[in-house]
Amino acid sequence: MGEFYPTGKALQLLLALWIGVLIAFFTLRWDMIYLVLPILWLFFVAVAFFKPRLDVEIKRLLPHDRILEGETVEVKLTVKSNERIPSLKLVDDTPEGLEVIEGKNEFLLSLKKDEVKELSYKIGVRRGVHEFNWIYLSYQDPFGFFKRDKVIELYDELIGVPLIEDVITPYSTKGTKITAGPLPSPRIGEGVEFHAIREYQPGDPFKTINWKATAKMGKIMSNEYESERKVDVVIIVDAGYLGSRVMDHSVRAAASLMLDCLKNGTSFGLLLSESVPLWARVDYGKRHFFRCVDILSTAKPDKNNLIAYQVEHLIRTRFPANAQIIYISPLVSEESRKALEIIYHYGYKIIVISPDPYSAINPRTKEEELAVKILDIKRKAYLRRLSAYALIIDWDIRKPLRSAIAEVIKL
Amino acid sequence: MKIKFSPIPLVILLFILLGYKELLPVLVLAPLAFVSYFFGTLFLMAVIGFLVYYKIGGALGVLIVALALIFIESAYLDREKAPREHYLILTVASLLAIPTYALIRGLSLFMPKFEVTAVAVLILLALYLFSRIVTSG
Repeated sequence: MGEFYPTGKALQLLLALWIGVLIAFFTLRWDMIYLVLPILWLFFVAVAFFKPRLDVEIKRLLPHDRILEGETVEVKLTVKSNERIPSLKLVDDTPEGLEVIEGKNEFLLSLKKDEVKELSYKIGVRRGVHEFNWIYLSYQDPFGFFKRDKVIELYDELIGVPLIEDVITPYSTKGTKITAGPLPSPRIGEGVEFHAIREYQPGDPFKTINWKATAKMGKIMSNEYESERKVDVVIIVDAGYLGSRVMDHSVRAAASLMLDCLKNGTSFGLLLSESVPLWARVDYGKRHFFRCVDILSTAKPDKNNLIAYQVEHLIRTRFPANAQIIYISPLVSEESRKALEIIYHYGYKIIVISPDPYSAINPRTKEEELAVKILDIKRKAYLRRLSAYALIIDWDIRKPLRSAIAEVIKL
Repeated sequence: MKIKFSPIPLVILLFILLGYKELLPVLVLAPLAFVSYFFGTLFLMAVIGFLVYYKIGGALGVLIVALALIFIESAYLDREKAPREHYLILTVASLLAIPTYALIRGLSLFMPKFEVTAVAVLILLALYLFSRIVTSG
């Protein structure tokens, strides 16, 4: 896209020129038309010497494509001009979700031929997928008579990943699934967890011989290991708009618990319950973790009143049997409470992490304070009723998640 | 309202117009150019009108128009915080009208009639530029 057009200023001066000509004509002093010569010269110089093609090469440089939310990132733009451009306005398409916190994403430049200029500004990263699509260039000749706009398509993506904190595992990792454990094991099933010492049996590998015990007992003793059995963890994040105040906290909790699963060597799945649910099947490993973090990065409060239906459908078709469910929801909607009951009725072990949406409110008046108190009491009553179905961690978001878990599981 | 170099051509213009008392009233409109470009063009039109009405032409007339033009354009450049070289380009471009006038005047000695030549050339040039501006893109 590129267009070269006269500005309102050029048209005003052209009007002055023609009125000058008409004055000379109507006063019958035709020879004095030469008085408009300065205006003509100015137009001539502007058209002849300051009409660029906007031949520029622009690169955008981001330090990394995944940045933790809340961090500051410097966006660098490198502009190389293949012609002389006396006055160039450049606007970078900073995505709406990002906040410019230092400098500006608009620049006014003067470039010589083959000159390279580096520009930069700083942005604060919020959680989400942020797309830079284009760079807008606008050239105005020095006198402001002509303008040329050009949009250069330059795509970059920045993913603001949720903050991850160290949490306490709020459930037992022991389960029925045989895995190689968190440490690399040469043979799956043989296990890595120490069980007992027994007398050496022919056929036992030599590496299992416990030499200390052999010396003490006077006969060859060997270690016995048992296979590690782990639980599958399914994390459900309620992305209903009623909990939009604590959405970021829900996402952070989910990401932190996934990292905890990764450390424990348990496999985990993720259900992000938006109006179109996003499901990451149960799997393990770093690659799976990053895939789930990417899904969580995109989470946004949605008008979803189908969470109970979504959960029931996935329980029937996708959830592994005997999985440990971690349900992250403020439990403020009827649907989200119904979803919890459904999970319970299917016989799953459930832990609910419920970020308190009212702890995010700072009441400004006494009436507001009273309203928040009433809503909080109402929510607490719901939580008490639902505690029959699951272990509920009522999380005051002003505290770290770790201490909220510790309070409930009495560590 | 930012003012930087624009008063310079205005002061020069004032000194020149002190010798032509009948033109002085036009300066009443001059401060308006600091406010907006549109008012500046009104001032320029008034200057041309006064010059034609009082038959003050020649190189001096061209110089007065050039200074008025430099003044209103400088006021615009001040507002835009333009670099100094833009003021220089503006001044040179506007003052080129004086040698052009001298050239036309010289040519008119060999041409049928000065007025006819000037009118024809200027109208042609103006029409050409106008059509170029409108149709370019």
